[in-house]
Amino acid sequence: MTAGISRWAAWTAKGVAIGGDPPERTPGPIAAWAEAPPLSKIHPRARRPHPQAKALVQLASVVLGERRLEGLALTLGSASGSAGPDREFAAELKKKGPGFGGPSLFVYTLPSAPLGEIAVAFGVRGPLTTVSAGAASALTAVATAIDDVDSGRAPAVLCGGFEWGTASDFVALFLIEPMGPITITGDTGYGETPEGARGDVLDLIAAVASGRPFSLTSADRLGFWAQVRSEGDLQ
Amino acid sequence: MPVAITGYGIVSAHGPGLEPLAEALRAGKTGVRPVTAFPVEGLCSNLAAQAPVTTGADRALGLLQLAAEEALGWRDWAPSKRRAVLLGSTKGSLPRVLEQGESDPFAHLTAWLAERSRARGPVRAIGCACASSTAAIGAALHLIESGRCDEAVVAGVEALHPFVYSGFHALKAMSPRPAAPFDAHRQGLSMGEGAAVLVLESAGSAAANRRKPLGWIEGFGAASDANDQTAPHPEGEGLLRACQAALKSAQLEVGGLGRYHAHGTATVQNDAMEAAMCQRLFGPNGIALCATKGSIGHTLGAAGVLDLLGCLASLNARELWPVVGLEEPDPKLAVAAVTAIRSDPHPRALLATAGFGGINAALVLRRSDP
Repeated sequence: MTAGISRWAAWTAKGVAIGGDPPERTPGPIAAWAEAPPLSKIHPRARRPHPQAKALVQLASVVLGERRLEGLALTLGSASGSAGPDREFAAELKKKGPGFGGPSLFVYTLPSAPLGEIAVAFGVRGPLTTVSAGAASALTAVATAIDDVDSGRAPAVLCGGFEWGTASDFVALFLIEPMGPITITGDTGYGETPEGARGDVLDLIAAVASGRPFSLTSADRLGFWAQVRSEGDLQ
Repeated sequence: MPVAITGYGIVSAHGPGLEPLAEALRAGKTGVRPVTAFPVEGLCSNLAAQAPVTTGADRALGLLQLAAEEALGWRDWAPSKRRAVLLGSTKGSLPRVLEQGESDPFAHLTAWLAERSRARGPVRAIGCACASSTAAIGAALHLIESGRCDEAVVAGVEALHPFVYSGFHALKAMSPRPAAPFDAHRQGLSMGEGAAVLVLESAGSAAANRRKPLGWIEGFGAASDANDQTAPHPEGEGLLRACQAALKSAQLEVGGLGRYHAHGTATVQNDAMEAAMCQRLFGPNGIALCATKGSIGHTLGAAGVLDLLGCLASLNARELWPVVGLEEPDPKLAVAAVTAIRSDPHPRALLATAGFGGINAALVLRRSDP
């Protein structure tokens, strides 16, 4: 089985890019998205999701479109995970007292909560996993998703990463399927980082969009690294 | 392909080591006591299964280090690109986020374990809510079975924190008395804390190094409910598919199992969901059901590895141990919950975990000797 990327989208402080070059990087929270699909249309069962989870559901809706893939898995990487909702819930406890935290906010203080929201919205019944490997988290998620499709463990994986409440927030999602039009391989490790161009999932979008072979490596100061490569004809 | 557990370490509400935990489970003893770590006045419970150990300010790191020394201290560890580290936790070192302004509560824990075990292969933390460390075991299994790694160090860790305690109070999920899984009068879960570290390696590697396994992991499966963020699917749809996937990967039918080791949080919804799932998976005759959270509390992301060690201890003793806290089995739950010690010849168990977001993961375990 050969895994490939079939669709992708990213949302940064400069806006949303779907299936093309990523938006320019700018520090700050993700931008407003005027054309964002309304939650009532794509997630009628939503019950006041945290804005982080809402953003992931909205971007997932444009990557998945009308497709509902049997056994689809979700694998997303994040270093900040639920740090944003964590700080909000802690502030709520500090303001109101330890007995008066809001249950609907507490639910989103898990890094995996946005994945659960996507699963409920789109009926995703495969495994849901968040991975954390410092600055290499998102590319680690892509590399493991490639491996899961290559090995037949998952028929398809919606993967990528998100950071929320950081200096430079983003959401980047990729749909990995067998025999996708852009074939890729990946690996992860710890310690000495392999040779090759450094980059993250936003660079991966640019690399894929370029149509040329690439090798991208994300590395973290603590030693985590992840690498995604494509060596074939991308046309 | 079975994977051997050749190293293990644990810290639970019964202290460091597997032996105190096994003794407590066998005796039906609970480690759930009044919380001393932080104030709990005004909350719906004042109980938790605190680990009776002293650590530094970074409680999660301290618990992990205690478990890791037991699991890893007996071997020399040369650096290896074919050794992985997978860590499962929901909140990691939460004070780093809330008090020190950092964003990532997991990276330093995972990196510490990678340095301690000199792993140079895949190293990452896995977040799957309360199925996190079970999913970490599943990821390790894949890395070994696929040939990418020879061995993997898998950890689960969770420290008690007032933030999480308040959160479960807000959800009205905690019991004012020690958790009583599958009991007619159960009122919710008891929070717990602890850490466990496993060394997993292929059967060939274990044999070549003449290491006697504590037990074997024969299968793994995971699936989502796609139902609700907090409430499990009422019929256990996702857990059923996770259990079926675990059995399939172990190439086993339900008749090959001797027991079901339940997630057993003692919330009304969870236990009802698991009972419904057991009906669907095992049929009207059911199967012996065990659970450990009445003894060690709910250790959230660490629950999978802690439950695994408790389950293997009873498998190796060739006994079924009682569900701690269960006094009056709920007649509405048609499960064969174990209420007293009895001998049991079956070598295999199916172990289940379930978490918020509808995340489910299951393992097939086999005792050390056939």
